[in-house]
Amino acid sequence: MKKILALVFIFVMVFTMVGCAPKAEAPAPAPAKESAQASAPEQAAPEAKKVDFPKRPIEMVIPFGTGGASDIFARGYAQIVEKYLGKPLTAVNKGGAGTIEGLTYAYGAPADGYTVLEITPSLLIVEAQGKSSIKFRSEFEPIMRVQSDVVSIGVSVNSQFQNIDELIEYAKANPKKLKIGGLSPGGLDDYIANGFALAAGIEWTYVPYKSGSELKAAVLGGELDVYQDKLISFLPLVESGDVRPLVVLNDKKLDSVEVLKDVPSSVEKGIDFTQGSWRGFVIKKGVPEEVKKIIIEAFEEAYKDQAYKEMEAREMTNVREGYLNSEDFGKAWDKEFDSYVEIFKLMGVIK
Amino acid sequence: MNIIIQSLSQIIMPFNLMLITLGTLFGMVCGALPGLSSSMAIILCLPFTYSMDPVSGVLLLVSVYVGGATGGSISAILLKTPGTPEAVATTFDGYPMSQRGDAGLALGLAVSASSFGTIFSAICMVISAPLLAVLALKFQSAEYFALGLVGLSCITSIGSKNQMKAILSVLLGLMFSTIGIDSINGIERFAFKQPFLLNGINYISVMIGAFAIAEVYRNVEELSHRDTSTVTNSKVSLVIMKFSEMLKMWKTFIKSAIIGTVIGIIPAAGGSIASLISYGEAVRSSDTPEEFGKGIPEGIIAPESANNAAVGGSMVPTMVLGIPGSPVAAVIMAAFMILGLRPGPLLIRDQPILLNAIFFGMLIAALLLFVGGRFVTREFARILKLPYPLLGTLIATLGVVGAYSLKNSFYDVAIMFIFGFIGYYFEKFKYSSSAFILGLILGELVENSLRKQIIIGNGSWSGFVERPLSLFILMVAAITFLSPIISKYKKNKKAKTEKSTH
Repeated sequence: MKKILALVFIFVMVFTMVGCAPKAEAPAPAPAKESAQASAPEQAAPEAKKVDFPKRPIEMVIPFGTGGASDIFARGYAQIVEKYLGKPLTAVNKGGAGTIEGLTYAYGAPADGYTVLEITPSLLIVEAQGKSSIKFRSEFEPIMRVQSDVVSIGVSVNSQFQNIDELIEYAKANPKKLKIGGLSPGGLDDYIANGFALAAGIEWTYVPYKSGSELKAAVLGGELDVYQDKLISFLPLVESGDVRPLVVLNDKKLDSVEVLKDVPSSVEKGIDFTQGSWRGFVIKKGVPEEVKKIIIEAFEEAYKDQAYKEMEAREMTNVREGYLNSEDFGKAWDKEFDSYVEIFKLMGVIK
Repeated sequence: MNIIIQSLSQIIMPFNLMLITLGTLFGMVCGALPGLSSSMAIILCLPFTYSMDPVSGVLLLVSVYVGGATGGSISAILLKTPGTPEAVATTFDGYPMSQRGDAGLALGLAVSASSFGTIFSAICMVISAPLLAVLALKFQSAEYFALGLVGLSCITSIGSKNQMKAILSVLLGLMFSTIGIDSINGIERFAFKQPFLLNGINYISVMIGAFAIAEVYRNVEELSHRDTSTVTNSKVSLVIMKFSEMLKMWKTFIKSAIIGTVIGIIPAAGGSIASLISYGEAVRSSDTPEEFGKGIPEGIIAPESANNAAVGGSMVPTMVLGIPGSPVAAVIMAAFMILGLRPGPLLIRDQPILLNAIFFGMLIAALLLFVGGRFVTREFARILKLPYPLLGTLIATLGVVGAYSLKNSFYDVAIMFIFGFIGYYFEKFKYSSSAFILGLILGELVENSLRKQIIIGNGSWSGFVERPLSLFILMVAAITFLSPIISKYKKNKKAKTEKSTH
């Protein structure tokens, strides 16, 4: 009797494991099957017939850990795309090594359309800094850019700075004295902090934090002088009266956001810097054209879906139009890449 | 008062009660499985909450969190495989106790301590959330550094048998924690151009390797000298400690719950640091420190009460400031946003029912654990009646799956096996695997906050002693580090004088 109980227990444990971590099982046997499936129909039916895609679930590689804004976005978007693709998209988090792990993983998968990679500026930055041997822009093709995030700069309400002019005046008189925080050294936040400073003709010190919560605590606790963040994280602190917004990195004021509508934009203040974050999707180069078309169509349809519009409004990513179609998205990469190289050279991150 | 009644009436609904029960159970199972962390468990539950009303959704997630913090101890006690990082310290005394044949007792203690910690921190949360949240902001880089040192200084208590070797182990752990991309300059260190090393050595796979796999190796070695058909753990007692006996240890319960709540509130420190510090403190303040590590009740109560108290603690800044108090709380906060709620000061003002709902949800989950959990977990102990060859295989399988599912990467499995060997030899030569892991877990926090504070102080070190809170914590660290050494020295001296008089 007791042995039976123990056996039942093992069964339960094993099954919960299988049930709880389906993605853990999936990737291992996949590559062999994929190559067999992908090559067979292509050779048998050269063109003429419409391709039968997808036949099985598609893997959505998220090069970030679970729970962050990019993870939640990709998981949410995958569910909407599923409606139009007919097969589920399973999310796989490969958050290691500052997106390099996800990049390497997606690069290692066969170019059959069954692996889609979520991207943000971080992947271009990895290439700009030469951190991975995989040249992102020449190995992947754009599907679409879905959304973009506006970054705002503010200070704690206890700060002496009432507006952006005072802040810049002080920073000019005291170079490197002000501390601004962000996530990941040499990453997007670092770029934005330094790019803004460069455009404004000031210098401040960038301090990297491990997580958004530590960053916010450092601002409210007075360790950092200046706070920069994307809207979804920035707004609650403004609404609660803890943070005084000074400037939004945009062409014009953000009229659609109640508490920020009187805050000047960087361009209005003569600081030509509007970089924010954005999120989009890519597939590996070499995916058959027909398959690529099916994927792009499904992702485009999902963008028009009401469910996405609701998601966008909730995440406050609809403030600035982020949508770019496949072609324009690819073109935008080169332009952004060049400015990353320029700023990182100035920062001394790359030679 | 009105609000309390209102929120209670919402929770008492059968559907919500069912969610709490299911959530707690699911959390416990996920917590017990190494590699399936509480945050993963919550993410897996997330899709179910989309269609629920916010209160039900939040109740489900919070009960999974409570269950997860408890479940880690089950495998820690039975298999020496901490199911979650929070349960590392539980293996120190839990496993010896279950090896002694008192698995039921150990599990019962863990569950009772967990539910006590949860209730304590839930009460703290609801009574004084806005006040406590201020504490989260008092903690800046200098204080984090000091707190990390307190954690590290526990080493003289944990490794009291062989302090020199324990300190050596912790230093090795600190060294290994520097592998990967450094968090201040983004420079690669000791990565040798290997992408899998860029993210550093994952301490969960090290933990599974050095504890669970090493233990399997050790048992295999013993068994090969013996008739394998004999069941090693033939005596498995399922007796649970009496309530009145537990009451005698009220000091450990309360002290650990306070430590857990406070550390839970602080954003960059979570249950794993709380349980280690609380264990260290229990050893330090004990009259019989030499009994720790051999399986004494306090050694289970201290970490378990603390890591569950950290659950309630971490919800405080999450709810009040919108700053998650732990990585798991960060996932819960993300879930809040999906449910259309934005944590922060406004949430408490606009939705007072929600805070109370979380409070009552945690309370009910804790009571459920206390009443039902003790009997349910006791049944888990039957697993020890399996013949060891079977049990050992099960542990190794669980370990491999657990390490793999961390990042879906076989490198983590390889690291687990490597540290299985290292852990085995550590044990053999009386070095301390737990000290090594302590260094590995805390290394990053200590290094990172030390360097941040120096940047913020424009290159000056004075910030550490000029900030009163930081200075205070540094002194606590010094006391924690030195007192076991001094007491040992005194004891040796006493023993010597006694000898010489004879």
